[in-house]
Amino acid sequence: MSEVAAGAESAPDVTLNAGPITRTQLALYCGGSGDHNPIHVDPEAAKAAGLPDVIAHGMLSAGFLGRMLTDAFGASSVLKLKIRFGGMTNVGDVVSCRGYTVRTGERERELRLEALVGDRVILSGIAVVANVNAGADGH
Amino acid sequence: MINRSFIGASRTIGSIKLEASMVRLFAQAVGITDEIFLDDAAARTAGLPAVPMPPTFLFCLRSMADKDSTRFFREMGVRLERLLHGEQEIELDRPVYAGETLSFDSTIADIYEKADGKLSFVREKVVAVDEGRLPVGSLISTFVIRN
Repeated sequence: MSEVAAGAESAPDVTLNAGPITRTQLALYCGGSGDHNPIHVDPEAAKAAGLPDVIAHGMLSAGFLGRMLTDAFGASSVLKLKIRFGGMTNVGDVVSCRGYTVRTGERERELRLEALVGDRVILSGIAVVANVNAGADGH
Repeated sequence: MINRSFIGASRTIGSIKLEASMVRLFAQAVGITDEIFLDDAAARTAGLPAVPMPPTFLFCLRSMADKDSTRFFREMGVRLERLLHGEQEIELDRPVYAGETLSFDSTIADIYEKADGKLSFVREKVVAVDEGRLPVGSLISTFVIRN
């Protein structure tokens, strides 16, 4: 499925830069997420899997997108989040998250999301967030 | 090639209680600084019943509840080193707060092939329900298998 392309040329409505990603952060995410796949923390395990070094969890960057949305729209505003994993994220990478509003309704808005490392798209997706919660918890 | 007779196969994943400490660990890992996610008192001051669940944590919670996360793929004969997580969809019917226990059930929603069978796709739908068995959200994962 292709995502809505509208808004791609205009400035994003919400942004967040996360990183540079450290090995400590990947270890913390292993513990915090319950994903204990060793390719994220153990260079030997990563090499055995054919990778030059450990790679970041795709869901860690998805978590950055979630953080961008809860920072901007409220802690319990997110109704839907759909992510497509497009590329690997490595130690030292800075993940630039962007959200473009593609539809605004009375009760919710839809955003097209992307996360980039440099000009490489590592995640793309959509989100639906509620308008009603923005401000309910201090945002 | 994966036998399409697995479409519709379902299993119970299990139940797990969302603890405020789990949210705090996750928040620290993804760099969340909003006190609402870190401190129960801050959440209450903001008018919430407890620390809320960050949206992508529903996926983590399901993983933590699952004692046998690769079972379907083993039954399908998929070699795990050929398995990629292609897409993840998270839907929340309502906010979830620390102190709640969620139960997860999984169903294989679809199996299909692309690129003349070089790639197989498995779509799994996981539904999360609360203690009253009312739905709180769902997770749709699309896995890609390089044949």
